[in-house]
Amino acid sequence: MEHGLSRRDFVKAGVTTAAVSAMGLSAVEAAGDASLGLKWEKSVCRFCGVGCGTMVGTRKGRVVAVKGDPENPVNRGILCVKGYANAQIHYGADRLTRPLLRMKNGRFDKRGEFVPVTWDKAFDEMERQFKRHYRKLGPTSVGIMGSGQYTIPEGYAAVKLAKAGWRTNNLDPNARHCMASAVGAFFQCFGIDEPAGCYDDIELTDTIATWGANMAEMHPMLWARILDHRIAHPEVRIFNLTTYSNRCSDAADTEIVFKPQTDLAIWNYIAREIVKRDALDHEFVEKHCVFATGFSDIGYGMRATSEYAFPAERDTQKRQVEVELTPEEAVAQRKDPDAHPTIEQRHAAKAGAHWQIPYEAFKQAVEPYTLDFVASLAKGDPDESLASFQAKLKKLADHYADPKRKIVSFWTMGFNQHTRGTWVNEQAYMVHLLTGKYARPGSAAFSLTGQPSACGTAREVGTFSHRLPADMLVALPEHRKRAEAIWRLPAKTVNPKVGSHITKMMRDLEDGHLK
Amino acid sequence: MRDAPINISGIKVGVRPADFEHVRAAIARLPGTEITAAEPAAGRLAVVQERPTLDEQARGLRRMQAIPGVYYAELVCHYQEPEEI
Repeated sequence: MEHGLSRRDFVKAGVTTAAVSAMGLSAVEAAGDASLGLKWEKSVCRFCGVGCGTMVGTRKGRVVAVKGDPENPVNRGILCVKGYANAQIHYGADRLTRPLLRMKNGRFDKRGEFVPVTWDKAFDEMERQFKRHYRKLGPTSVGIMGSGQYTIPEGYAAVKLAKAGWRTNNLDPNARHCMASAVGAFFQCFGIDEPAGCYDDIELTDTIATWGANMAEMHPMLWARILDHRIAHPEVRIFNLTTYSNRCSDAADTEIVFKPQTDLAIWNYIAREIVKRDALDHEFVEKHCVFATGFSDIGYGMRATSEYAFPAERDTQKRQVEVELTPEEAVAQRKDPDAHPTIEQRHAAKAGAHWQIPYEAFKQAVEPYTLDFVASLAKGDPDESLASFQAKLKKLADHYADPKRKIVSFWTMGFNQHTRGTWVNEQAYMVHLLTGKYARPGSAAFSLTGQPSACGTAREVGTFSHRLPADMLVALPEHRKRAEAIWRLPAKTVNPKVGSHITKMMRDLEDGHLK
Repeated sequence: MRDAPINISGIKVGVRPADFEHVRAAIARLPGTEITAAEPAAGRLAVVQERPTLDEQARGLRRMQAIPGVYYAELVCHYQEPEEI
């Protein structure tokens, strides 16, 4: 037998064993060596927000194999199609393997072409440019735009370099873009920025509702867990709320295709149903909840100036100043829909302000969101009948309202990058809290992360403009003092002023405050 | 002597139980696939796929995902040794 053939057979037997083992069934066995005779190291896939545990196998110093880490509590030994790329990414012909510097006539020039240089030359040039601006404009002229894909050690090094070394709090991850609305809602509803659900709720629930989250393609490992649970428990029901049919629809019991933005109205309909049916968990609500509201004339977080806006952004920018209500918005706000009311956006600077209201006021607020009103507004598939869409909405409300059913609502960027993302996150908590289906095994309102280390690194290590490690804040003197003691810094080294968040950093670059 | 290139992956497939036999047959017809374990009651199949390139591996997985009745098809293990090392 040829050597190549025998190695192939050996590999095939090992891959077979790994695949059979991943089925999680003791009844089936395979006899190959799943280690494939390789040296294996633990690693993490950083291609998406799940952050699956991987095992990377090397032979003679070259990565030749990858498999899902069976010990990882999230992906439990499987990977999605992106797993194929994890090994080969190291050997891509276009991989950047050495520093490139824009140069003209042998010198650094922003308008020059990229030229390979040594690490020494790259660092010398960065140091020269950094010092030039730092001396002139001080610590707020420099910053780091980071990522929710940072590992914990990478993020910690960035915090220490920026906050302890450069004395700037201009450090912020792109996780801000993904999750600012989720975080806003966490603070508004719970006073703290952390999700309360966990992936183990998947195997404990009997109802899953995905809202603007194509988990089958974007969080496939979690979707596989949901479907394994469903195969084993036929009573489990899946609702897929989406603006278009996607792969989650294939396995969903009920697909609800709605018009973009109308998810807010659907949540209000569910809340109205819970009120009408008196399906509240009164004990939970009395013990743990208050009813609150805030301003709705808050604009959209755009800059007041149109100097930097693209033409396509101008209409949105106008809405920063005033908004003409649609007829449906007018109905919901008890205004005359025929009058085309225009609302000046007066409270943009107080978007987070909120105050307590009595339960009666809450009931009145959701009263306009009847099934007829919401179904007409939200039906997203022109080929579907209104009666069919209404029946689906009612079925959804039945599942949220039924006290015997547990339910997990999953969402991701469909909510979190919504123009009213904070509100729609808050509405999910509203319905789960009303029914007491929150922070209990099998019941959760769960904002799926967009990046694997948006919690671990960005939040807890503190790679944000307002944070320090271990959930501490730069604005609090005792937190700065503690960080300074841990970092062995002279007192008052850490800058007490919150830095620019990532969008503000972009605006600072436009304005020349950040170099 | 050069070893022959090796490119083999193991795949876990979750199947709607009512469609199990139809899915099993459809996967068996895909090029380079071999079903190495099947549990109809649990709706699970273990598949080994051998293809000449990485792109064809990924395409094969996508084709499995597109079969009606397949809830999910995901990678367990992939081995690729392009040349003698």
